[in-house]
Amino acid sequence: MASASGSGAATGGGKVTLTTSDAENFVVERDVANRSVLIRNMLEDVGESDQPIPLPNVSANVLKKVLEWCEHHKKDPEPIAEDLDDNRRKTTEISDWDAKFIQVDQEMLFEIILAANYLDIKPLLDVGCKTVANMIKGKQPEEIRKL
Amino acid sequence: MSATRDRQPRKATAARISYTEPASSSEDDGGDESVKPTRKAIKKRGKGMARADIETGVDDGYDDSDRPPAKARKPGKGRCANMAATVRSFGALPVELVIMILSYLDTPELLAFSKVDKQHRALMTSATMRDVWITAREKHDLPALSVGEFTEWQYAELVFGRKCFISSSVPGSAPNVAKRASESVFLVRSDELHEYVDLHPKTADCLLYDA
Repeated sequence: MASASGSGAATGGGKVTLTTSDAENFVVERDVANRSVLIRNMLEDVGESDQPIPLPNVSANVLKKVLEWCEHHKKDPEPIAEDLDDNRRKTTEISDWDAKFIQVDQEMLFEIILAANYLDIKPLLDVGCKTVANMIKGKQPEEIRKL
Repeated sequence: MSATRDRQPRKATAARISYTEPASSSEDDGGDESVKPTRKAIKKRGKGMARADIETGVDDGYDDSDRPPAKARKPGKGRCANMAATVRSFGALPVELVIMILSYLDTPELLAFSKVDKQHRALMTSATMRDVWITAREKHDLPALSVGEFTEWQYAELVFGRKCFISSSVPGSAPNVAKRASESVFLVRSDELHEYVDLHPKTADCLLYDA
């Protein structure tokens, strides 16, 4: 599976293999994998290696979804830490693409949030949290209980 | 307000006033075991607090729609159940993620969330959630309270909810009384109370507390 030829890894051009909790392998561009701070740090620690990165907390169906997000956002500029914190408290607006992306059943939504938290993908975590917050907004306690 | 109503207070209003010892506030609908964090928070922030909950009837013009359910559906299973149940209702999210989600909500939404059941209430009134309440309060441009007057969630309840609390006043000073108003909050010193004509009829009861 690991088709990356190692050499380009340092410059971000290579491929990375991720292994899910259910032992499925995903080969992705390094740019895409780097959206996850956890994976980025792992890659920096490991250096140049063709070893697959194990993600024991993420299953294949969730990782597939998360990688779809990472692929779309791979060119995004790195968010500034303070901006992130500020925006989080102010608005629950979600970009059109993200809103469509996050239209999943509730179980998957929470799985994505947990995965984004584990993988340390803050913008994706924010999208997930905003979506849940929007589900609570305007509801009576009885309706919230059903969530 | 008619004289008839005044004569039949039991029918029109169900007033429940409870005075508690310092640091052992007994939540009438907050459960016993599961409010451990709350007690801690109250102990820390509002020592020597006496508290009055006033639940008003239907004919006093106060909105009843956000009334908490009379009985919490799930019986509490001891103190270890409190966080777990809240988390379960969110599909097994850890508390820090719940906090992150709640940071997007406004105060009335937080109050609704805190009224889902005992576990939600215990979580929302715990010290863990203080920053969430503050974040929400700042969105409304409400001024901060001075230390020891109310906890943040009590403040939120005063302004947006339907409860009346007694301030744990600084020794030697008169207790402040706050009254719920739809958009604004009144923080009134007891010796200025007579200047306010449109206070809730039960506000005066809050002054039973004597420092």
